[in-house]
Amino acid sequence: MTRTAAETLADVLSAGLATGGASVTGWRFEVHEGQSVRVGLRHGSLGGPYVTPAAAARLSGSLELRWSDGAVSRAGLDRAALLAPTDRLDEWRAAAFEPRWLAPLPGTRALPTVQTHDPFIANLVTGDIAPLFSVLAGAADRLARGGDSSRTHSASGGEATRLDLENACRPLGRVEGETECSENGWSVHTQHSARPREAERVSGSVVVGAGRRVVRSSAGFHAAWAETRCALDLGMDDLTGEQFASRRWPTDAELAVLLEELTVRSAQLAVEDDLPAGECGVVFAPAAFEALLRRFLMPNLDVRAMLEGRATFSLDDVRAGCQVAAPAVSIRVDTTVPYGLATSPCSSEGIPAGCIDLVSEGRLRHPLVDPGVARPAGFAPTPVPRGRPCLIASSDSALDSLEAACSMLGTGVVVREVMGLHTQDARRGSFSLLVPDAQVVRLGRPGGRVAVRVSGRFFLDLLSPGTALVRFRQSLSPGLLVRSDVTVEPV
Amino acid sequence: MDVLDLDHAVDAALELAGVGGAYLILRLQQVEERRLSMLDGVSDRARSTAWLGAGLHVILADGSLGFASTDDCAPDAIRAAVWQALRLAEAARVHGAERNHEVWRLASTGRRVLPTTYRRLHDTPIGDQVAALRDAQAALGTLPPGTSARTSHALVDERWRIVRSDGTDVTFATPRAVLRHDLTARLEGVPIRAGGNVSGADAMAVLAPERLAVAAARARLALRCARETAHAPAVQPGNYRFVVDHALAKGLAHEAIGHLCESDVSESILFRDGRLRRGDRLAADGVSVVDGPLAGNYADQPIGANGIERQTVSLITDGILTAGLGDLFSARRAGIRVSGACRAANYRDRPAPRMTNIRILARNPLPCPDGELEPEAVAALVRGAGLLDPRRPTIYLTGYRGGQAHPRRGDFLFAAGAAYALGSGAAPRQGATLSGLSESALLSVLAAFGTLRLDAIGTCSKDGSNVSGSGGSHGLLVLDADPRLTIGASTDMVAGWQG
Repeated sequence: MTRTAAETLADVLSAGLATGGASVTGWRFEVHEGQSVRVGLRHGSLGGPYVTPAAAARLSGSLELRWSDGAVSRAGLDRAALLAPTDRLDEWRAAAFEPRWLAPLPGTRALPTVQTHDPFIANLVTGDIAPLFSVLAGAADRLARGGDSSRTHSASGGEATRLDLENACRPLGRVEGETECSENGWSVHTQHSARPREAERVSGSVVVGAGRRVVRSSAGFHAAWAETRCALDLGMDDLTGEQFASRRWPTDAELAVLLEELTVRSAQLAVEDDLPAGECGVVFAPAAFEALLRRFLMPNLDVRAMLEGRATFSLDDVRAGCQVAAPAVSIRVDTTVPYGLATSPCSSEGIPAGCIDLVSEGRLRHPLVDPGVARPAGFAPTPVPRGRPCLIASSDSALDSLEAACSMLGTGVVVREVMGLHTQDARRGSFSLLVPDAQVVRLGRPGGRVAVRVSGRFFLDLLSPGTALVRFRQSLSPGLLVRSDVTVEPV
Repeated sequence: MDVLDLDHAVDAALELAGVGGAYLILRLQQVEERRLSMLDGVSDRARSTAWLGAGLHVILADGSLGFASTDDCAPDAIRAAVWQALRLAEAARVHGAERNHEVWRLASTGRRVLPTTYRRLHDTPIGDQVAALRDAQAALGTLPPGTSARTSHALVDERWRIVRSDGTDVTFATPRAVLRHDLTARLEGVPIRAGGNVSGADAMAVLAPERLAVAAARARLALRCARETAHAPAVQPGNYRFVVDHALAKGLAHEAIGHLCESDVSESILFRDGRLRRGDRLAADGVSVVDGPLAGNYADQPIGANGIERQTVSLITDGILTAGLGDLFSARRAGIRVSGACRAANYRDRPAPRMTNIRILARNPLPCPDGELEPEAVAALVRGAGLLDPRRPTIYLTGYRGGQAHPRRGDFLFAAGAAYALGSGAAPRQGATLSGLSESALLSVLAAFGTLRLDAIGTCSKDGSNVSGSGGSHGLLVLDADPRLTIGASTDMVAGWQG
């Protein structure tokens, strides 16, 4: 269908459209057709009104038209626009403007081969959805039992695991009695279910999606590919969670590690603790560190913001290679990671997948550049991530594990999720955030939970010699250990 | 295509759900939107988007639920979506998923089309909007050298049709429009930003000359505050008597109270054993918190996402927690009445209880001039009323920058772009982040100044769904020092990142 819609659109756009005294002289578009299915679990119950098992289907995209008078139109594409584009032409023309900067339309170019499609997920979306319920219920059951795998079913093969997990889910929704009543003329079955108290601690969701994407231009650019995605979230007591997010289904080993991490940590965080006396440092776990990078670094590396004076950094800072992080730290955009959510053959503007260091050896090397401003900025366009991680930090001297980081930290907290990051001023880099469920680190070992306020200066934190990146199991993105220039207070 | 033209699709959905013995809630959404922006007098962005889609819940006779959405509203596609939702509901039943029977209590309200009282997008020439953007930039007057002005304008013409198996079929609009200035400059090397907006239901509400003047006045005042606080000292961490503007008061109501009273958030600290703690004191005497639709407001929602009329609810009445935001599916379990407080940003969303326009009301507010208040005027008002803290600085916070709530513990925080230490004048301080606990935040309300200002707008995110929100309070709200209402550690600016 997408192929047909995209081809129809290309044919129509190439047919010499004209309105309002101008004609279409060039175009580019992206069209995506996708389907998804999601299943949720809330306080131990699958489904229900707010996490109802859900399926979605959608055809959408974006369009840019170049007009004979130099104006440009940009529009979102919905199903109706794709099927009858000429119906929208007048509106698109009316909204045309003359952009300050405009890139040439992408022409024919070779694109790298990247892995974006898992047939197993595609089958889940269009076929048997039972494994979605099973993986969630089975994981929840395992967590509710405190990770005791001997009390549930384990297996090594993918299919066997799904079946065993399905068996394991039964106690979650055990029916103890059914009655029938009638209200407003409707026949109603009322179910009384009883769940183990422990099961009510678990919430989560699994989402799978599959679709096809097409990017084309009037200058000859044409890319089409199939893509899938999977996100599995699990949380315990609203205290802590783990996520698997990829374009492929998780392996049994990955699921086992995720459950093990969550089991151990939720047991630790179930205990209320006190913030240790003395100076505290912080280990930001990968999700929190990535959120900090996204909030503070990305907008300040955006070349449009630099050109307009809205960024903390300037193009001169980039050209001079200013030191913005510890010398061993690199920060890159990578849209080629196999099955990464950020991965795709090209962006909607036809920029090929790639990997580029924005910061290397701690120094600014390259801004984030969209094609429109590449020429005035004097930098090549950068690949555009289509999902997380947007930025990936790395260091040859990264600590090997959270345990190693805690040992080096001595006293402080591990922060996995922060509240209110979106309220902080991205340009200043300073932050004051609540962490209701931080994990105490005392004498180099993880302890219980404590509510804290963490304040700091992210740009200084990145530069500080006491700062180190930390590798986490199953995470491409590292965490960040900050031992100075950060304040931790109990709340 | 209009949602009212989709009778064939509606009939197809009802018929198939009926054959399956299921109850159906069908939500049809039609959106046309136009977004424009101008940077320093030159149009630099314009984007128009439209879509039509259907989201539907099916509820089997035993209460098992399934949901499906599609952007194809042809009868066959809608039938396919109903079939898909039935399949999911059946899978939910097989897997012992949670069941809910509340829909069976509903009675039909018949077929209704609420009158359209705003100017539709297709009646709004884009040329008029572009011209108004130029006027809006001109209304800013002369800005300090080096200041860049981006003016954005969005017009969203949104219509919903909610159809239920009980015969309810209601069509209504939730239009919104905003004009916003974003001013940026570099001050001694540090980027600063300031903004001001006006909002309403349509272009007339935001592009009329008097509204452009209001937006310009707000942006200019915000710029003044941003400039003089950029290099000011930080507020020392601690507890203070606070004066907050109406936008921060809205943030307080939204984060500290509103989210925690939503009937699906049973883990909220304002719930006990799954039921809202009605009767508990949460605010000072004379202080109320109200949520409800306001016609013409940016976040107006006359009908909830399940087709139930949205009611105005007093969550806190004279300091006492009296009601919650009750959605069909969870209100009874939470011990509150169904108030139609259910929203979806998009047909693809599974709706949940959400706020619309939330406001803090205080009995006997003190007089205060209408319009924008310079910090010195705020100081004079508070001083004149004898409300300055005699022991330590009274801190005025202005320039709401968003917030967040954590229901289980009741933590909340929100950020202010600028702060002032009030005394004989108003001494600039850097912006600050205020945090506290819901159970005590409003107990410290001492006084309010001025008439109600309910146009503080924002986007509220919950479970990945972003809906427009709004609210406010009196022009100023005074909160006494409280050990549980705290400004965090210094957020001193960073000057030393350069290598």
